[in-house]
Amino acid sequence: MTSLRAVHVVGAGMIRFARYKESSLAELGQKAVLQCLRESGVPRSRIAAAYCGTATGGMLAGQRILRDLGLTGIPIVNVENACSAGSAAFREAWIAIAAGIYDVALVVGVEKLTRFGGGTIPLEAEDFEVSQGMVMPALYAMRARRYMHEFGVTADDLALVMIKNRKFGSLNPFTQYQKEVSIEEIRGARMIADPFTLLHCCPTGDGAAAVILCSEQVASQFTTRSIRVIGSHLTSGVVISQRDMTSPEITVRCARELYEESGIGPEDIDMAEVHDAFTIAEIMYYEALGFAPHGEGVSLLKSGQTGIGGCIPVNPSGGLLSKGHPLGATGIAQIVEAFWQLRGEAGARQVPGAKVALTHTTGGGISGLDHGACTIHVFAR
Amino acid sequence: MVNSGSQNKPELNLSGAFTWKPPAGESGSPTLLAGRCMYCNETFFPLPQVCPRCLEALETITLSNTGILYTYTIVHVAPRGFTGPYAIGYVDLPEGVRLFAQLDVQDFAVLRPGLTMTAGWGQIRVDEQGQPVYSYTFHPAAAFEQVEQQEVSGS
Repeated sequence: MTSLRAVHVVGAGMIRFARYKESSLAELGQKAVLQCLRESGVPRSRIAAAYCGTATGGMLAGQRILRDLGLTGIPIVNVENACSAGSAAFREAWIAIAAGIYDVALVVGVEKLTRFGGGTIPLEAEDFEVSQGMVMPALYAMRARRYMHEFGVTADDLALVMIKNRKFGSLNPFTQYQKEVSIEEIRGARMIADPFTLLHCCPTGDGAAAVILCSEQVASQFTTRSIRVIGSHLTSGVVISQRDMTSPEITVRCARELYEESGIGPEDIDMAEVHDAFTIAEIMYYEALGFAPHGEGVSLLKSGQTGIGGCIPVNPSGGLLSKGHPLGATGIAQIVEAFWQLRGEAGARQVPGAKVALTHTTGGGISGLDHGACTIHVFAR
Repeated sequence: MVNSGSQNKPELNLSGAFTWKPPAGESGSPTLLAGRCMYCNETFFPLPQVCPRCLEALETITLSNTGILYTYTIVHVAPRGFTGPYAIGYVDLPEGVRLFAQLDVQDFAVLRPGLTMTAGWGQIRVDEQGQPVYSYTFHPAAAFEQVEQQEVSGS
């Protein structure tokens, strides 16, 4: 690979994730971008390109957001990669700056899921499994069922993920849900896809988040406390006959390739924001990211090491389980959290002394694949 | 729940090839078709246009009608066209394919990974016009047909 420039994140902003039935997607995106511009002090004239990550935001989402902020007239790219849309948009900006095409870029992730009313997110009708009755909670529920069968864990064990993440979430003013939950509430919530009750699932909501990235050379013009991108990787799922559904192949592979490429190992990570769309997901991602051996994710969780005060806090923001999962906004919100954490600005949920943060999202469900997309980034102070 | 249906046309998959055919006569068993690559011998369901590994042509083979339930769930929040609660799962067939299917079962409590399942036929949803759509389904094989499953221990 020819020499790539180092890239830094110099600004971040997000809105509280919630249901915003009365707001348009463009308004949500604008609020997040304005937060980011104001907090960072980066002048609009320095932004050479903008990227917008959204899965259901429709045509020209980026332009609809940026027009009334006087930020069009520059190259704008809209990125779709299902739940990994935001992270993938960030990676595109990273690539362009690293390659020397631009010095400064803005990335906004946004989604308005309340436009669908209630129920599960509508999937692609021409997908075979969707036409037979697949919905996202069912896909994860089936992983959980197989994992429970092979490793002897229970639904109550999985519920501990929600309990931990809501504890973190209660310390984060940006989450949709800011109250802790008990095991009794989780058991008693209505059934969605066996064994998952509503409280094994991330809530439905809307949200937006934005970051500004730039080359290392110009970062100090904006802040002395930027964070550096030390790893970036994106991959897509592959067809594997009778695939082991207890091991998420796309994340296993993405993490392995990232670690090989960057020279970072799981032992170097101080905190991680991972794709906890459902409780089982966080357990499996501990294993796939190398924090625990296959089958021992629940033990790691029970040890307390991934919770408050642990050696590898996972989802200190409260995760998707507390924030909800406005698809395209999620990946950028994770990066916003990493930015704040590494600068010591995370308030009550601060991970003490965090120097290296990992963010991870997986995108969507299509037949035959673990997921369609997986994006992992690593940041360092 | 899946209702057993009567005659109706085979479902076309995207490439226009029949991926399964409804039961002939009284048998109740559909014909499940998969594509086997003549070059690498791997088998795919539903039929892709070409072998995803080799891009070579596929020959159509008939799959066994009996397999092992790998995993399942019962969906309570049904998407449009479906009536909840309904059971879905993955059935592993000896030809090396894994089929996603609605599970036709009276009592959800009998479902468990490792259960032997047999292919059947039934209504799985209604289409945009409200017309019933039929497909293969799987139901638990009779008790005497259940294969002894060794307990899977963690790897």
